[in-house]
Amino acid sequence: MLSQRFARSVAQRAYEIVDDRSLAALTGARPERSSMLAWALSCSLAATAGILIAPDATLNKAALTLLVIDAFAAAIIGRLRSLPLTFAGAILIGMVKSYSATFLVLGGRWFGLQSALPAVVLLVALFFVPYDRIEARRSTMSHRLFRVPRLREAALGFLLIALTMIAASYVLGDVEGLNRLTAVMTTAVLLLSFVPLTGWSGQVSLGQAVFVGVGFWAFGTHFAHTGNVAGFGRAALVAAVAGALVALPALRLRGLYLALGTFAIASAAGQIFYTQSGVLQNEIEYTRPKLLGFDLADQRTFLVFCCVMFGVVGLALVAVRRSRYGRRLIAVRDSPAAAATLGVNLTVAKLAVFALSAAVAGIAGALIAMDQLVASSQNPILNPVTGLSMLLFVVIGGVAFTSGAFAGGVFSELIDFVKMHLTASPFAGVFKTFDDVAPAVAAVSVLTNPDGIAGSCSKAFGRLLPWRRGEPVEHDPNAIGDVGGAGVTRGFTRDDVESMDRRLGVPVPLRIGIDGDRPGSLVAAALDGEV
Amino acid sequence: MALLEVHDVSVRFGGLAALSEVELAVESGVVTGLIGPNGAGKTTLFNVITGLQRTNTGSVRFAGTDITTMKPHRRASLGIARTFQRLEVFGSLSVRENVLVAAEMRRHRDADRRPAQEIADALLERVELDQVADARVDTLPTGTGRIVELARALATAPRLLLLDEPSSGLNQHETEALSRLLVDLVNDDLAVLLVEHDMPFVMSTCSYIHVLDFGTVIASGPPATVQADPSVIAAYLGDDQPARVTSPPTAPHTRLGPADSPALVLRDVHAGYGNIEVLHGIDLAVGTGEVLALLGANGAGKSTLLKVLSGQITPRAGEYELFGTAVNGAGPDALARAGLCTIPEGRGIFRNLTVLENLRMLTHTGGDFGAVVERAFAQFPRLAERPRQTAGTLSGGEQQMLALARALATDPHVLLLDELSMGLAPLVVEELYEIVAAIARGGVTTVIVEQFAHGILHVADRAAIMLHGRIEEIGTPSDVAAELASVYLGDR
Repeated sequence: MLSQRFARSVAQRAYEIVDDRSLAALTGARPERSSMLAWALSCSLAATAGILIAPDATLNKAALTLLVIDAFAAAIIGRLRSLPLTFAGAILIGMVKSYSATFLVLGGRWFGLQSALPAVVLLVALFFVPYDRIEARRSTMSHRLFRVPRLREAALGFLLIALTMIAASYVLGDVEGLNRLTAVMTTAVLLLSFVPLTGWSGQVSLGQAVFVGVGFWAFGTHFAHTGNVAGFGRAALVAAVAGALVALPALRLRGLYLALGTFAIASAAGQIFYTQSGVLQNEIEYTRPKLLGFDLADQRTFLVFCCVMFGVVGLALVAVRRSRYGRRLIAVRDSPAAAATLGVNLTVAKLAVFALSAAVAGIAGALIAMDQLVASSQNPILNPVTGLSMLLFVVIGGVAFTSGAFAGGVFSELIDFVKMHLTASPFAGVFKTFDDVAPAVAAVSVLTNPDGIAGSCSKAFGRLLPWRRGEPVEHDPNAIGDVGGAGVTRGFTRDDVESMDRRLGVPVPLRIGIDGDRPGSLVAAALDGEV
Repeated sequence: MALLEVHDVSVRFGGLAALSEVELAVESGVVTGLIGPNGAGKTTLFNVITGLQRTNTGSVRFAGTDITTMKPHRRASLGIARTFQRLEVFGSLSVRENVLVAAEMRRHRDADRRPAQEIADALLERVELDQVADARVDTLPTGTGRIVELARALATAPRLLLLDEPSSGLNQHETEALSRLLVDLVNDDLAVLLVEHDMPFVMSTCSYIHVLDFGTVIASGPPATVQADPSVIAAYLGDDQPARVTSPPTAPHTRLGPADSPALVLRDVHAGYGNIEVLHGIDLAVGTGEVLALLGANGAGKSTLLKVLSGQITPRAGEYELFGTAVNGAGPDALARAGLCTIPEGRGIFRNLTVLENLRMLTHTGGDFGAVVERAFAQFPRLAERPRQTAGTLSGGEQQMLALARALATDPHVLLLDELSMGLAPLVVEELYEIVAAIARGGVTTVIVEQFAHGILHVADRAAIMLHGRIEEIGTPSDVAAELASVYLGDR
C-alpha cells in the first residue's frame, strides 16, 4: 500500500512534468527532482522485472536488449497512453509467446516466426496508430547546420580519402591490415546510409541491418551466378523498395518511438525473412570477378574498388543534398507545417528519404558480401543490436557529413582492433569488454561534441583551404562577439560584455554593469570603480 | 462569387469553442482584414483554411472547389499560401534557399516558365532581402524572418495569401514598405487575408474587415464602419465605456499605497529572449495588498514582465525585490514556495490530469490535500460536480476556475495573473473578476495582465499601460481608461 501511494505520487509528478514542465515549476514542484524520482522508480521496476524473468532469461546483453521489443509492442497496444491497455497488451504478448512455445509447431521456413511474434504483433498494432497531426511549431531538433560542400570539393575529399587508404595499405601490408582497411570502407558505405536519413532529415533508424540483408540477397542471387557488377544496382533498387515498405508503418512514429519501431522490424526480419528458402537460408558464396581488367580477387585492388564505391555513393548523396530534393528534406525537418502549406507532400518526402537510405544500405550489403566472399544470415552485421552501435559510430564520426561516415568506419574498426590485440597488456581485462563500454563512453563524447569528428575537422581545417577563407564564420551564441576596437577606438557595448561573461562563465551577480547608451571602456569602468 | 468562402465552420478544442459557425468571404483584388482580441480564433481560422486544423462542422470552398477535407499540400497546389504568427522559417537554410523551396513547388500552375532560381532572386529583390540572401535565416531578427516567410509564400505564385501578423517585429520603414507591397499584390488580382494587431496599418490597408471575437464573427464591413461599431468597441474595451469606470468596489481593509511597504519592486529591469531585448528598463513598485492592472497591446512586453516577476526569466540588468529581499535569479519553484502564485497565459492547468489531480498539485507548496479540495469545491461548486473529469475537457471558464482555485487554496502573498479573460465570454469574465476582487480583499498583492480592458479597471487600484517594452502610463484606473482607446484603436 505504502509503495502504491508513493508510486502514485511520483507518477503524477512525472506526468505533470511531461504535461507542462514550466507550469509544474510555477506551482512550486521541482521538475528536476521529479524527473530523478521517475527515473529511479522506472529503474527499480525494471530491476524487479529482471528478478522475475531471471529463471527464463540469460544474462546476455543482446537478449536483454531485445526484450524492449516485447515491452514496446505492449506500449503501442496501449497507444502509449493507457496503462490498463498496456497491461492487457503485455498479458496478450506473454500468452501468445508461451502458448506458441508449447502448441505452435512450426517447421521449415516458418521456424523463426515463433520468436518474432512480439515484433509481428507490434507491426500489426502500428497500423492502428493514427498519423500524427502536423504540428504548427518548430521541431525541437537542433538546427545546427553544416556547410554543404560543392561537388568539386566533395570529389576532392573522396579522392583524398582513397589516396590515404591506398597509402595505408602499403604501410599495413599484411593480410590482416588489408582486411581491416577494406572493412573500414565497407562500414563507411553502410554508415553513409544514415547521412540523409538521420543527418539531414532528423529521423532515427535502428533497422538499417534489414537493408544490408536485402542487399546480401538481391546482390547474391544475381551476382553469384553471373558475376555481373550490375548486381549493385539491383541491390540498391530492391533495398529501396524494402525501405519504402518498412517506412509505411514507421512513418506513424517519431523520435524514440521510430527508433524502437525500426529496431523491431530489424529483429523480425532476422527471424522471418532471412530464413526463407532462396533468401539466406543457405549461405551464398561469391567469387570476385575481373572488372575492366582489374582482378578484384586481389585484396588491394578490391580496397580501391571499395574506395571508388564510397566516392560514387558519397558524391551522389552530396548531389542530392544540393538539389531541390535535399532542400525540401531540410525544409520538412525545420518546419513540417510550413513545408506542407507550401505544397510539399510530407508522406512522400519521408518515404523517399527512407528509400534512399535503404538503397545505400543495400549497396553496402552487396559490398560486404563481396568482401567476405560469403553471405549468411548468421553474419553479425545483421544482428539488430549491431544497428545501435552503427548509429553511434556514425554520430561520433559526424552524421551530417559524408566524411563523417568514413570517420565512423575508422572508429568502429579501431575499437575492434584494440579489443583483439591488446589482450596481453595489463589492461587486457578492460579491453576485453571494450566494445561493451565504448558506446557509453562515446555517447558522452557525442554530448560534448554533437558535430562529430568530421564536423570538428571541417571547422578547424576548412579555413585553411584558399577558396573557403572568405566565408563567414558560423554564428555561435557563446562565441566572443566582435569586440574589435572595443575599449580602444569605441566603447564596450552591453553585448560585448555579455558575450565575454558568458564565455568566461562569470556568475550573474558579478557581471559588470555597462550603460548601453554611455560610451565607455573597461578602463573607464575601472576608473569609476566598477570593476 | 468570392474566391474563398468559409461557411458555418466550427472548431472545438475539448471544452473550448475556438470557432463557432464562422461565415466569411475573401474576394480577389482586395486586402481583407481579420481582427479581434487575443484568443478570438484568428490563427485557428487560418489553420482551417490551410488544412492544418480539421473542422467539426462547416465547409471551406476555394475558387468553387470544396477543400474542407483536402490535405495541406493539395490546397497549396490550388494556390493558397500563408505566413505564420510564430515564425515557421526553415532556420537552417539560407534566405535564398527558403524562397527556392517554395519556388520549386509551383510547377505547372502558371505561365511563368522562368527557372526557380530566377524567380527567387527577383522576389528577394522585390522585398529588399537581396542583401541577406545568403545568410542563414535563424541568425536574422524576427522582423526579417517575417519578410522571408512573405517572400516564400509569394514564391508559390498563390491566388490567396494569408498573412498572420506580418508587421509585428517590423520597424516603421519596413511596415510602410509592406503596406506598399500589399497594394501592389492586390492590384495583380491576388486575394489577401490579413490578421494584424497594428490598427493604423489594418485601417489604412484593408478595404473590408471581419471582426472575430470568441470564435464568432461579430462585425464585417469597411474600416470606417467597423471602427465605429459598438460591438467592436465593446470587444476591445469591455462592455463598459471608459467614462463609466467608477472607483473600485468597497475595500474593507485599508489599502496601502506603493510608497508604504512595497511587495514587489523592479528597478530598471531589462529582460528578453536570446538576442532580443523585450523590456527596456522597467521601474515598478506594487504595494502590499494592491491590485495593479497591466494593460497593453500585443507584443508590448506584458507577459515578459510577468515572467520576470514569476522567476521564469532572469533579468539581464536591474533589480527585482520581493518583500524587500533581492530575488534576482531565483527560479520559479523557489518563488512559488516563497508565496508567489502565478497563473500563466492560456489556462494554468494540467490538461491531461483530472480536476482532483490538478488540485493535488497545489500541495507542493505545503498544505493539506483535504483542506485544499474542501476550499476549492466550496468556492466553485461546478468543479465539485466533476472531480474526475480530465481538465482539458472542461469548458474554458471552468478551466480558469480550476486555475484560480490555486490562488484561493494556497494562501499566496502575491498573485500574478496573465490574460485571465482570454477567449472567455464577458459574463464568465465578470464572474472571474469578482473572485479576483475577493482574493485581493484578503490582502493579497495582485498583478493582473490583460490585453483589453474589459472589466478589470473596476477591480484594480492602479493601472499601467505598456508600450514597446516600457511603462507608458501609470495612474488611477479612470486616468488610464481615458488613454486606452487611443492606444488600442490606433489613434496613436
